[in-house]
Amino acid sequence: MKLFARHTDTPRIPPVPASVSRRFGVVKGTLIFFFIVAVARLIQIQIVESGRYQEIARRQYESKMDLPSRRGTITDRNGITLASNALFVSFYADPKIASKSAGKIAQVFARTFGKPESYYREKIVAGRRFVWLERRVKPDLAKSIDVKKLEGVVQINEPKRLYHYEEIGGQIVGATNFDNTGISGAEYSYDKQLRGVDGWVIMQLDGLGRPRPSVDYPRVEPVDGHSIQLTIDVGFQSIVLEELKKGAIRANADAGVAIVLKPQTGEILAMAQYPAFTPSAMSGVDMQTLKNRAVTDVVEPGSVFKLVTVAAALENHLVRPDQMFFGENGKYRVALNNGKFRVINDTHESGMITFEKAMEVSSNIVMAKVSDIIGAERLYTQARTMGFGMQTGIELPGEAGGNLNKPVEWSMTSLNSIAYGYEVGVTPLQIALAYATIANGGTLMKPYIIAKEFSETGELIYTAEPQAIRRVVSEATAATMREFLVGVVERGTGLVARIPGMSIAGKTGTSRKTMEGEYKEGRYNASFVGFYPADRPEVLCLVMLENPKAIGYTGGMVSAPIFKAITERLLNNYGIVTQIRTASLSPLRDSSMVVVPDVKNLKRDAAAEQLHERGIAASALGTGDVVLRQSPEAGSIVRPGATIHLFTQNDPMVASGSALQVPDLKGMSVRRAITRLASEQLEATVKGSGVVTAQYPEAGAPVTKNTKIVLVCERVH
Amino acid sequence: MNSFFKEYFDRTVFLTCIALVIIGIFAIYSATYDAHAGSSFHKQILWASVGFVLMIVVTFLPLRFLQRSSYIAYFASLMVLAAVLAVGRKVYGSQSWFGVAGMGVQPSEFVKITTLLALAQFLGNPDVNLGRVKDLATTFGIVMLPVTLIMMQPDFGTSLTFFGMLIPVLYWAGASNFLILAIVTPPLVALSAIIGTTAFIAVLILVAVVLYLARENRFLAVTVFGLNIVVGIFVQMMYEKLPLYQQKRITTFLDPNNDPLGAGYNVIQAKVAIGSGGVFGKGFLQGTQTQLNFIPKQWTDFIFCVPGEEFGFVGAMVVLGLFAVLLTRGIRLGYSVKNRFGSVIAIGISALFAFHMFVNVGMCLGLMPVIGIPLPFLSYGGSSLVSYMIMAGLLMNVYANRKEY
Repeated sequence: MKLFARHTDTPRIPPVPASVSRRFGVVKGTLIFFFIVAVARLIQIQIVESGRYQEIARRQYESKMDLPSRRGTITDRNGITLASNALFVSFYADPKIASKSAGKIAQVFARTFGKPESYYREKIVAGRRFVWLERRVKPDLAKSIDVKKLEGVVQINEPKRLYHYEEIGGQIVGATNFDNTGISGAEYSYDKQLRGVDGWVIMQLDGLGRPRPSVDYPRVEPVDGHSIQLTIDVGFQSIVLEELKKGAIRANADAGVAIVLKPQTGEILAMAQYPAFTPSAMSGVDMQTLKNRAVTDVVEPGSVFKLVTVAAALENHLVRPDQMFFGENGKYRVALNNGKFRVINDTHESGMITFEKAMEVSSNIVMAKVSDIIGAERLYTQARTMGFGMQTGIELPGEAGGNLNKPVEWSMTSLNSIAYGYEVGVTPLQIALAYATIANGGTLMKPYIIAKEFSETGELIYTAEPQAIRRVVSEATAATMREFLVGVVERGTGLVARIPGMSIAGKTGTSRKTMEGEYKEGRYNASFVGFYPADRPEVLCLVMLENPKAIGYTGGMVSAPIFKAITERLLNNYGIVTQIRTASLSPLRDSSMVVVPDVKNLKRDAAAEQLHERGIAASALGTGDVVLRQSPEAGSIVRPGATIHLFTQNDPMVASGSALQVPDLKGMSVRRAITRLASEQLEATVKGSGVVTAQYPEAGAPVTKNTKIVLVCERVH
Repeated sequence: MNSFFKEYFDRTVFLTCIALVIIGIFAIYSATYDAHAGSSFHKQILWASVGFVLMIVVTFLPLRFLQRSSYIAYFASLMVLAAVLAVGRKVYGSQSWFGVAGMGVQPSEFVKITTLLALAQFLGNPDVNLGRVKDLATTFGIVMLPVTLIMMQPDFGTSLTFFGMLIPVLYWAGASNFLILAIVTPPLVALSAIIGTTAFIAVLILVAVVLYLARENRFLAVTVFGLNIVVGIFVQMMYEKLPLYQQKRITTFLDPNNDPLGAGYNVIQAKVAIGSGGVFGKGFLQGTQTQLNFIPKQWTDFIFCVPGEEFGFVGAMVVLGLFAVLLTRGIRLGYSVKNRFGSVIAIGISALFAFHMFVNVGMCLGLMPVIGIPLPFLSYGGSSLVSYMIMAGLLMNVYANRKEY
C-alpha cells in the first residue's frame, strides 16, 4: 500500500498561479514546523521532565488516611459496660466543588437533619477547602443521603463514644472530646491505654478529592485500645448518686461528694458527685462539674479530722480513753504568747468528760487540750502518716495533695486548730482513707479505681492488687478507735446515722468554709464518714456537702442522713455483708483465671492430680480417701496457684451430712451475731434490737449458703 | 474490482481516519470508565457508525453534484444557524445545540463543511482574482456570515476555526503574500502588545524581517508595518484602560499557568497526565490521572491526555503520526488534483484538521490558550465526529474525482 503515493501529474489548466510549487512548499513547511513544535514539547514533558510530572501526579492522587483505632471499653467491677463505642457517620464538603450545587446539598441535608437550609448553605458558601456539614450522626439517618449524587460532599465513618450509664458513670468514667481523646475521669488518666494506636492507609484521591483505597500500598492496621475494668460497682454507684442527689437537694447544698470504698483494700466501690455530670451532654458543663471533686477539692475538714488527734494520743499512749478532761462548759479561753486570748467554742457544752465522750460529742476544747499533750511534732507526724498533705495516687486526674504545714511553719494557734480540723486542707478521699485505716486495723491503703486492664485481644494484662502503704496505728489502737467511733453513732453527734441491727462506726464534721481567706458566716462544709459492721468493717462511706442551706448545716444533720440512706439501701440490695459480692472481681475476659473442676467422689490423689493439671494446689482435710466436699466449689473461678480444700470422710463437718450448720447465736449482740453468720456465709434478718433471744432455724440446723437466718432480739438491761 | 478501488478509493485517508476513530473510542472508554459519563462510549460508537456511512456516501457523490449544490447547502446551513439562535438549547453557556430525537446536534460543526464548499465553488471559478477588492470581499463575506452567527451563540472557539481554514485557502487560491501578512500579522502583534513591550518589539522586528523577505513593493510593506504598529499601540492602550480583573482574564487566557486553580487547572492537570505517562505510558485503564478524573470533561476537549498518559510518548506519537499522514495526504491531493474546486476543498479540509489538531494538542501540552475545540476523530461528541468523517469523505471524494476538471 502506497501511503505516500505521489500525484505529480501537471495540471493542464493551471488551477493556481505558476507559483503553486512554492506555495505547496510554504504550506508543507508550516505543517512541518507545527509538528516539530508539538513533538519537541512531547519529548520535553514526557521524556525529559517525566519524573517531575510523575511526582506531581503521585502527590495528587495519594494521601495518607488515618484508620482510627477503636477505643477500649470501660466496665464496672462486674463487667457491666460503662463506656463503649458506636460507629457514626460524618459528612464534610469541599466548598470549591460543592458550592456549585450548594442549594441541592442544603436541601437534602435540611430534609434529613431538620436544620434550616440556610445553615448548610452558609457553611458551604463560606468555607474554603473543608467544612464539616454534620458530625457523628446515626448511620441509619445517614443512609438517606446519597453522597454520590452530591458533588463535593464526602462521607466518613467516625467512632463515637457511648456512655451507657450516663451520669451514673459520671465524673469517674469521665468523657472524651470530639476527637475521641479523654478529657476527664478515667477516660483522661487512662487515655493512652484506651486509645490504642491509629493505623493508616495510603489512599488514592480522585479529581474530586474522594478517597479510594489502593491495593498497591502498605496498610497499617490500627491497634485497638485496651479495655479497663473499674473497681466501681454500678449498682452501688447508682444508689450512692441517687441518695446523694436527694440529700443534697433536700439540704439545698451547693455541691456534694460521696465515696464508698472497701477499707481492707482501698478499692473505690462508688464515687458520686452532685451536681452530676452527663458525658453525652458535654456542652455547657463547667469545669467544676467535670472534676472529680473527691480528689481535686481541698477543704478544711473540721471535726472529722479529730480522728488524727485521737490516733496520735492513743498510739503514743499519751491519753487513756477513760481519762477525764474538763470541757470548760463550752467556752475555752486560751492565752496566747503575745498576751492575747483566743476562744474555742463547743456546740455541745460539757463539764468533766472522758476522752472517749469528748470524741462522741465532738468537743473542740478537749481536742485542743489533748493536742497540747501530744505536741506539734507528734500530731504532724500522725497526720502525715495517715496520708494527709500528699496525693493518694489514685488513677484520677487533677488530684490535690492538700495542705499540711510543717510544725515550724505553724502559728501560735495551729496546734490547737489542727486538733479539731482547721488550718489544714484535705481532700474528701484523704479523709475516707484515714478512716479506712481505723476500719481495717491500722493500715493505710493506696486507693484505686482501675481493677484490671485487658489488651485489645481481651487478654488480661494487669490486675490491681491492694497496696498497703504503711501501718498508721496499731491493731489495738484501731480497735479502741473503732469503739470511739461506734460511740459517736450510738450516743454522740452521729446518732442520725444509726441503723438498728447494724453496728456503725462514724464521725461527723462541720467546718466553716473559707472564702478568700476569711471564714464566712453561714457557709459550711458538712460531712459524715462511717463504716460497718464496726467490728469487721466491709464498707466505708463518706458524704460531704458543700454549703447546705436548708434543714441544718452540720454533718450530723445533713450528711449523716444521706449516709444512712445509702447504707440502708446497700444492705437491702446486697445483703448485710458485701464480702461475697466484692470479694473477687468479676473474672470476665480474664483468660489467666482457672475454673475449678469437680473432684467430688474422686480418690484423694486423683482429685489432687486433676487440680494440679490446672495449676491449682490441693489441701486435704480429714483422713478419708474419697473427697466428699470441695471448697471453693466446682465451677468457681480462681487464680492459678490457689489452694482448694478437699474434705474427706472423717472431717467432722462432712460427717454431719451438711455443708453448713446454723451456729448458736443466742445471747450475742446483734452485731456479733451478724458477723458470725457472715463468717459462715449466712445472712441475717434482724427483728428488734439488742441481744439475740431467739433464732430461726435453730442452732445446728443444716442449711445452704446465703440462707437468711431470722434473729429475734430484745433489749436486755 | 481491485483496480476500481485503487482508482477511486483513497485507502490512505480511509485507514488513517478509521484508526483515529478507533483510538478515540478506546480513549473515551478509558476516560469514562467508572465515571458518571459511562454511556458516552456507546454513544460514540453509534455516532461513528453514522459517520462511517455518511463518509462512504460522500466519497462517491459526483463532483458536479457537489459543485452545484454547494451554494444551496451553504444558505440552508445559514438558515439552520439562525434557527439555532432562535430555538436552540444552551450547553455550557452557548446556544449552539439542536435537540434531535433525544440527541444533541451542533449545526456549527456542519456549517464548516458547507462554508468550505461555498468557498471552493467561488474560488474554483478561474475568473476570480483575489487581487480584486470585489472578489476578496466576497470571499470574506462567505466566511463572515456564518462566523457572525456563530459568534452570536456565542462560540469563540468554533468561530476561530473558520479563520484557521480561510487563511490557508486564501493563500492557496492565490492571495498575495502581502494580503496574507496583512491578515495574519496584526492579531499576532496585538497579542504581543498585551503580553508586554519586549514581546511587542520582538514581534514587530520579526514582522519587518518577514515583510522584507516577502519582497513586496516597499510602499505596501511600509503600510502593513505601519498598520501593525498602530494596532499594537492601540491594543496596548485599550488593554491598560481595562479594569484589573478583565486584564487578568486576558492574561489567564493567554497563559493558563497564571491561574492554577481556575482556568489553568485543566491545563496543568493535562500536562501532569501526559508528562507522567513517560515513554511507554501507564497502560490501558491504568492512567491514574485519567482514571481518577483529575481532568474535568476529559473525554471531550482533553481526550489527547488519554493516549498521552496511558500509552506515553509512543501513544502520543502514534496519534500525531496518523495526523501527519492524513495531513500530508490532504495537501498533496490539493497540490495534484486537476480541478480547482477539489483543490480548495482538499486544502481547506487539511487546514481544518491541522488547525483543530494543533490547537487542541497545543492546549493539552500547555502551548496554547484553552480554546474549546475538539481533537478531530478522537474527541467525544456526535456532531463533531460525524462532521469530521464527512470531511474525510470529501477528501476521498476529491481523490476519486482527481482527474476530472
